[in-house]
Order: sequence, then structure tokens, then C-alpha cells
Amino acid sequence: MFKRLRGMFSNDMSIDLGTANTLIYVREKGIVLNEPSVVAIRNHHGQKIVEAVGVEAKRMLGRTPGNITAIRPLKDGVIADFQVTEKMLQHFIKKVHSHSIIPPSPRVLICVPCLATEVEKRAIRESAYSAGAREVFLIEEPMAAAIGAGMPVEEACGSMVVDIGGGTTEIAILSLNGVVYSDSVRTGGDRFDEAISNHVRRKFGSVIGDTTAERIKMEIGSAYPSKEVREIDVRGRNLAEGVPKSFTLNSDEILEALQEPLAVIVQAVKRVLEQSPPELASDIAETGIVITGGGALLRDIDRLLTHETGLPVIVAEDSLTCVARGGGKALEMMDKRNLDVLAP
Amino acid sequence: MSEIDKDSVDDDDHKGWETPGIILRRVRRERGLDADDVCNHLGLTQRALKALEADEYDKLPAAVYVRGYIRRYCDLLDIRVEPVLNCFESYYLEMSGDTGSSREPGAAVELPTAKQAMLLLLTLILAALVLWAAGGWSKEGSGDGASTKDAGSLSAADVSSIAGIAPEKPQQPTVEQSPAVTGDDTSADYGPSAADAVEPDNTEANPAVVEQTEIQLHFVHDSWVEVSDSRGKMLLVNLQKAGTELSLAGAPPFDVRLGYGPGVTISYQGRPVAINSDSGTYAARLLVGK
Repeated sequence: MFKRLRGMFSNDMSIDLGTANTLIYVREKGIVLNEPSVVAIRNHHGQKIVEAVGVEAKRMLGRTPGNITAIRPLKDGVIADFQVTEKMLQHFIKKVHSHSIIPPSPRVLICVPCLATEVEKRAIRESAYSAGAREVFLIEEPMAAAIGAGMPVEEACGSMVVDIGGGTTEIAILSLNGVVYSDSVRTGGDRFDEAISNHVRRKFGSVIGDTTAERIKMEIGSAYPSKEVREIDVRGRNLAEGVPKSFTLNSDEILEALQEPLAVIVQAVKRVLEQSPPELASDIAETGIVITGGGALLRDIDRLLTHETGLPVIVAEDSLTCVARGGGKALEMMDKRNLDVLAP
Repeated sequence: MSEIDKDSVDDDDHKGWETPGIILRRVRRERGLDADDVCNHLGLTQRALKALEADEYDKLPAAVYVRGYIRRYCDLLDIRVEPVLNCFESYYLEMSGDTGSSREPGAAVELPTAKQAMLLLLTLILAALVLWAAGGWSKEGSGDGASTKDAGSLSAADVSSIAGIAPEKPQQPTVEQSPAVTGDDTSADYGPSAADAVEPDNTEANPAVVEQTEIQLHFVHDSWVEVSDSRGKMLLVNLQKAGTELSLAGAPPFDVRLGYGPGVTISYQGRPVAINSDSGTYAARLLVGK
């Protein structure tokens, strides 16, 4: 009863609880929070205290003293550290309701990977309840991504979406508000960063941090060869000499470094196409594939997939926030038309 | 020359107002690209490309796909995407009457009625409690009944006098004008003919004819931004990175929402626009070009 009353003063929200970033969409307000899914924990006489969450904690990644650890509580799209995830969610929900005097108790819709197990789903649900949610709903990420991208998921026509997140890539064929076939590979933006780090270690004998690898990916990373060659100067610690050294990387070698994780995604897309029912495959051949998620921002990834599949491939508008926006819209659809697009 | 080129050789006569299809086809020819090359690059079928270049959007999938095809086509032709997309938006709106709401899911959503009702009830209860606590309610009710009665009759008189003046006057000229315009004597025709006389004015104010102006946004810090124009068309919804500069064209006034107001500068028609951000959240909402 009291929770319901508190709920009157809370906003329904959709949370894209991603491995790399957490986004929160609030009805009528849009995306109100987009912060890294990172928590810094201070170990004080054996007791764990949350030092920082989100952007602040990400700045600490790789720069913390012995008693502070900056960790990512989600791995491969699912919860790796239950308690820390709960604290992080609590922090984000409070931050969204910072102006409210009464403690928030919102209805929360959380996007989960389509191949998440019952245990993983339960963990997400429980942590949201513990973080103060009044009601918790789960939706499969590709469904939310497709709704957010504005795809006609309610029609009797096949739509294919590839959501490249930080930890996983979710591929699904959707029709009539349901997932017809889906697949998930544990390759995403993080694997791209890892591949870049490995390349730098192999070629230059230097170690770079995750943040630097991500910067390289964002600035000169590309998925398909192009005429224009871009360069970036980075600094890392030389393994042999043990001192920081500066070197220049170009887009061609980053493209080379990214071949392995990209091949995994391409194979998964082809696998889903092979498994799709013939009628839906024909619809997809006509309309094409839509890419969403942060990975869609990798330069020319659409060209790569078009080259590999021969289908039209487009990057969704504002691809980074598609999942969170789609979740918000799914909540509205659920309220207004009693549509069931949610995960069991 | 491919089949598409042969079909559409004599279609380019009307250059007054170029549709997205005409722009794309013209630039493709200027670049010396064959339709087959474009199909290979974009993965589109000949039929889809033909429909795209002929602006036959009913033969193409949902708008989200068409926008994607246009973006990739523009990339291939190495031309700016925004003007072609803006052109598509206005053309598509005109053709299909689509509101573009699929792009912004939470834009025009009403509050759930149950929630509204509960909030109203809570507010009323709170107000009643405050009144009761102040003691004014019970005293006035038991004391002077005459004064309350007076107040009631006064307000009724006020209401009737206001009602007598306000709505009648503006209706008068429209009814008088209508017979002159139509030249019809029957009083039954006054209503429709008046409507007819007003109609052309409305069509002149059609959004298609509304002049387009530009608004410039410069991002000093990362900020969420939503910009829509007077027709409700969403021009931009994105998390913009620091250092980016954007110029958006649309029908003024522009409704601008910023996630981090202090990190953004806006100029409209060469003049800077003041942004009053919320002191707590730093969010800002403003109407530019009113």
C-alpha cells in the first residue's frame, strides 16, 4: 500500500542495464541518464563501501589505489556481482528522482539478453526490487531495440535487428510483437577494445588501458576498408623498457585487429539468416537488417554486413539509446493496448 | 544505361521543388554511377532503388528503413545527409499524413488517467486538510450564511456578463461575411459557406509553405539534446559529444530540450540565445525563434 503511494510520486522507467553503459528512459522526459556501468568500491577494514558510481567511477578505472577497486558488475550482459549491481541500480534510480522528497518506488522495465537463463533473469529482477522498484518487468533486448528504432514489430512481416552492445551482440528476427528466432554471441564493444589492446601489445610491445583502447576504437576504428586512412597518437607502457612510450596507429591496422570479433558477429548474423523461416527470410531480404547499440557506431559496420550478406543494412538513428527508448515505449504499449511484448 | 535510368530519363523536368528521389537520382548521374552499382553497394533490389528514386514510398518498407536507405545512399554519393532527409520528412509527411511519432515514442503521450485521478484526489485531500487545519472552513460555514449567498449570486452575475460579451462578438462578422462571399440566400448554407470562406486561409498556412530557418548549436560539453520545430517534427534526438557543432533547419519556433544547458551555446539568425538552465539538474528547455 505504502509502496503504491510512493509510486504515485515516481516515474515509470526503462533501464538498459548494459555491460558498458546503463541508460535510463523516463516516460515524457526521454533519456535522463547515460552513465558507464562501473562502481568503485572502497575496502574499509573488511567492509565494502561504495565510493563512486557511473562516470566518476569510470574515471577511476585502472587508476585506483590498493583499497579502492573500480569494477564492472555486469559481464557479458548479465549480472556478475549481485550486490554491487543492486547498489548501482539504487544509485541510478535515486539520481533520476533527485528532486523527489519521498523515496522513489517506480515501475521498472529492464532489458535482458535474449539468451539469459532463468537464474540470470531472477538475479536482475531481485536486484531491481532491492534497489526500490515497485514492479519489475523484463523485455528481451532485441525486441526493445527494434521498438526503439521504430521498426514495425507489430506487423505480420519479418524484421531483423542486430543489437551490438558492450558485452553481447543480440540478433533476432521479430514478427507480430514476438521474437521468432534469436541468437546471442558474447562479442561486442568490449571485445573490440580487447582486440585493439592485444594488437598494440603484439606490434608495439606496449600495454594500453581499456579507456585508451576505447578511444582508439571510437576515433579511428572501422569495420570495412576505406580510401581514407586516419591516424591517432597514443601512449602506453613499453613492456621491455617499462617506461611510457608514444606511438602512432592507423585505421588500417585497427581494421586488421578487429577482424576476429567482427567475424564472430558476421557468422552469427549469417547463422540467424540460415535459421529464419522462409517467409520471414523473404521479408528480410526486401527490407534489410537494422543495427542498433553502441557497436553500430563503429565506422562502416553497415557496409561490412551488406558485403557479407548482400542485404540492405542500416544503422538505426540514435542507435546508442534505442534499447532504453524501446523499453519505455514497450511500457506505454503495455499500459495502453495491453500488448505483451515482455519476456516471461 | 540500366533499366532504371532508361525509365526515368524524362522525369527530371520539374526542378522547382526537388523531391528526395530526384535529388538522389540527379547526383547519382552527376557522379556517373550506374543504378546497378548503387544496388550492389547498398544491397537494395532494382525495384527498391527504382521506388526510392521515384519517391514511391508506398512500395518501400516502413519509414525507418527508407531513412536508412537514404542515409546510406547519401554516404555513397558523398553528399550531406540532413538536407535530403529533411526533404524526405516533409515530402513523406505530405504524402502519407504520418506524424513521425514512431521516432519519438514518449513525445506526445498522455498521463495515465488512473494516475492523474489519484494525484488529483491526493491534492484535494491535502487541500481540505490544510483548510481544516487553518480553521477558516468551519467558521465561515456556521457564521454568516447571507454573505456566502451574496458571494454566490455575484459570481453568477459576473459569469453571465462575461459569457455575454466574450464568445458572441467574434462570431458576428464571419456569419455576415459568408453570404457576400457565396452569394447565397438560404440561411442553411451559411455554416458550410463560412467554413469554405475560411478554408483557403488555413491551407495557406500549410506547414509545407512555412519558411524554414536555421538554428545553430555548439556543444562545449556532452549533452542530451532534443530539437523539434513548430510542426512537431523532431529534428534531432541525440546525445551530442563535446566539440560538435550542428545546424538544423526547420519551421520556427524551435522547441529545444537540453540535458546539460551550461555546456551548450545556441545561436539563431546569427544572434546568441540565452539558456536558463535548472540550477539543480542543469537541464534546460527553451523556445527559440518565437
